[in-house]
Amino acid sequence: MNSGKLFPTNRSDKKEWEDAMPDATIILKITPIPWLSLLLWVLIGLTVLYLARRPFQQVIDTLSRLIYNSMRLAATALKIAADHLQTLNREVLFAHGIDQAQRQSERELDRISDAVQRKLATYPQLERQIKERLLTMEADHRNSAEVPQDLPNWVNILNAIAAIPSAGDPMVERALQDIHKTLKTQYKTALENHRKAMSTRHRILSRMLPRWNSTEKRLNQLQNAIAQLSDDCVSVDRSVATLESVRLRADVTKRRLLFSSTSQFVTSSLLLGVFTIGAIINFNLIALPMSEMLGGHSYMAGFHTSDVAGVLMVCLQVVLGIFLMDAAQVTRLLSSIGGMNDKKRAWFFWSVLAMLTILAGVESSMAFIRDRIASDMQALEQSLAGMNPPSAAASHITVISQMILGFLLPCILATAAIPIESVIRSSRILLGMVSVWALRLVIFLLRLSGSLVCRTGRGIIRIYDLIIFPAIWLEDLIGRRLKSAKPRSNTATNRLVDHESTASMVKETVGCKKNSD
Amino acid sequence: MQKKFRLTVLRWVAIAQVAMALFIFGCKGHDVHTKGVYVLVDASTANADWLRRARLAINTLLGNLGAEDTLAVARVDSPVLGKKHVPTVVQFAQRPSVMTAQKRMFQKQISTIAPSPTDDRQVDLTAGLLQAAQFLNQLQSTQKIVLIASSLNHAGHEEDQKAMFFRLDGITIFAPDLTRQAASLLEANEYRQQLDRLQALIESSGGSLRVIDDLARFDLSD
Repeated sequence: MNSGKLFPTNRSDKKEWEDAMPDATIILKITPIPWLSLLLWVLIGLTVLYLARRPFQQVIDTLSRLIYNSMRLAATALKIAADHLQTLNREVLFAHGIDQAQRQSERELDRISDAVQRKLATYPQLERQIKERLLTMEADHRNSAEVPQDLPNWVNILNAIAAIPSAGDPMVERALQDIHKTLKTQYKTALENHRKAMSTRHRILSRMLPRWNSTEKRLNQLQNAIAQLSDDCVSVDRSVATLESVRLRADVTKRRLLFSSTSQFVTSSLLLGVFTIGAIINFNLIALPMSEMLGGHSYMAGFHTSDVAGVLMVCLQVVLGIFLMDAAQVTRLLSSIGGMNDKKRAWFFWSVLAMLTILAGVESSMAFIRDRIASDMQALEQSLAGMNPPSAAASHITVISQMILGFLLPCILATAAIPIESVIRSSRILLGMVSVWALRLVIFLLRLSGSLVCRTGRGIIRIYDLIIFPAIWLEDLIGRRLKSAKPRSNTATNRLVDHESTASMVKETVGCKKNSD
Repeated sequence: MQKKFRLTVLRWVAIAQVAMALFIFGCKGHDVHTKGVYVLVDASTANADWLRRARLAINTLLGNLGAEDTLAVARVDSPVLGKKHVPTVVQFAQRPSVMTAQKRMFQKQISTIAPSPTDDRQVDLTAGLLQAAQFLNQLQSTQKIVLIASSLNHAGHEEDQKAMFFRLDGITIFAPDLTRQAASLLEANEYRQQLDRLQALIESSGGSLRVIDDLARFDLSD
C-alpha cells in the first residue's frame, strides 16, 4: 500500500488497503450467535457511555461556558469601547457644530462691520452737513422774518398839506408845491425800498425749499442704513441663537448636526469627484509636453518621470489652492497660515496667487506645445499610413481653447481646497459613526455566537442522555427502589439531597443565563 | 478642539506622506524596456514586391517604436558580409518632437532605397541573420527582433545549418507566412517546408521564430 495516500486510487492499492484493514464482522463473532454479540456490544457501549456521562457532561458544560463567557466578556469590552467612541463622536460633533456656528456668527459680524463702515462711515460728515443746512435755514428764516418798514404815513401828510389853502399867495403855493414834490419823491423811494425788501424776503424763502429737500434726502439715507443694519442684526441674532442651541447639546441639535455633516460629506465627495476628473484632464494636457521636457523614457519608482512630474504639477496646483484659500481665510486647514498676522497673511496670499498665476501661465504654454507635438505626431502617423497629411491651416480655435483650458484648470483646481476641508471635517464624524455601528454589529455577533455555543453544548448533553436513556432509566428505577427500602429517618436527608441535586441541575441548566456582563 | 482637529489633519498628512514614500521607494525598479529591430530587406529586382512590403513593414515599425528604441534596415540581396555593407540605423530620442523628426527623416531615407539589379540567387539570408545578431547583441535593448522581408527559399538548407556558428539567444525572428499567398497546394507545401527549415535553423541557434501574416500589420509585443 502506498504510504503517501490516505485512500486507494487504483485496484491493486484498494486490495492492499482492504487486506490491511481489520475485518469488521469480527465484532459479531465474540459469541456464536451474532445478535447476541451485537446485544453484548450495545450493553458494553451503554455501560461505557453511562460511566463517562458525568465527565462528558462536565467537559461539554465547561467548554460551552468558557466560550460563552469569553464571548460575553469580549462583547462587554467592545460595548465599553463603543460607548466611549460614541461619547467622543458626540464631543467631536458638537465641537464641529460650535465651530461652524462661530464661523457663521463671525461672518455675520464681519458683514455688519463692513456695512457699518461702508454706510455709516460718512455719518459725522452727514451730521455736519445736516447741521450746516439747519443753521443756514435758521439764518434764512431769521432773515425772512425781518419785516420791512411800512411806508410812512406820508399820504395823510401829503393830503393834509394839499388841503392847506393857498389863499392865492404865490409864495405859499410854490412852497407847498415844492413840499408836495419832495414828499412825492420820498414816497416813491420808500415804496421802491419796500418792494425790494419784500422781493429779498421771497427769494430767501424760495431758496429754503431745495435745502429742505436735500436735508430730507440725507435723513432718508440715514434711515435706510439704520434699517439695513437692523435687518443684519436679525441674522446675527439667529446665528447666536444657533450657537446657543449647539452649546446646550440637545438631541435635536445633535440630529441636525449629524444630518448636516452627512449631507456635507456627500456633497463634498461629489464635488471632489468632479475635481478629480478635472485633475485627470489637466494631467493629460501636460503629460506630453512634460515628456518633451523630461524625456519619455526615464523612470522613477516604476513610473515615467514625465508622468510623475505631471502628477506633481497637478498636486502643486491643489496645494497652492489650499494655501490660497487658507490665506484668504475661506478654509482653515493649516493653523500656521491662519495664525499669521494680517500683513503677513496678505503678503503670503499675494505670493501664492502670483505663483498660481505663473503655474497657470506655464500650463497654458504647455497646452500650446502639446497641440504642436500632437499635430506633428498625427501628421507623421498619417504619412506612415500612406495618407496625405492635413493642410497646415489647422484651426486656431483648438489651440486657443486648449490654452484657455490650460490656464483655467489650475485656477479651478485651486478651489478644491473647500471640498477637501469639508470632506476631512465631515469624514471624522461619519467615520466615528460607522465605527460605532461596526462595533455594535460585532457585539451582536459575539453575543449571538456565545448563546449559540451555550445552547449547542446543552443540546449535546441532552442528545447524549437520549442515547443512553436505558441506563438512565435503570438508574432512576434502582434509585427509587433503594429510596423506598431505606428507613423513614433518612427521608429528610434524602429530601435535602434531592433538593440539592435538583438545585445543582437547575444551576447547570441556567448556566448560560446566569453569567452577567 | 480646533487644535486637536488640526493635529489630526497633520497626523493624517504625515501618514499619507509616509505611505507615498513607501509606495514610491518600495516599488520594484521598473526595467527600462527598449526594443531593437533589425529588418532584412530583399531589394533585388527579381523580387521587386518585397521592397514595397518592407517599406510598409518599416512604416508600421516607425509607428510602433518609441523613445530609446533602435531600428536598423539592411539589404540581403547584395553581399552582406563585407565592409561595404552598412545598415541604415536610427536610435530614437527621448523627446517626442525630436523622435518625430527622426522618424520622418528615416522614412525619407527608406523611400530612397532603390531596387538592385541583382539575381535572386544572391540573396543570403543566413549572412543577414549573422549581421543582425551581431548588431542586436551590441545593443542594450530588452527585446531584440529581426524582421525578414524576403522569401525564405535561401535559408535553412543543410549547408546553412553547418555554417551556423553564431547564436541567436534572446532574439525573435519575425518571418512572413506565405502559405496563404500560394497559388497551389504544392507551392503552399513548399513554403511550409521553407518555414520549417528556417525554424529548425533558428531554434538550433537558440532563437525563436514568429510567423506573421501581414508585414503591414503585426504586433511586436512578447
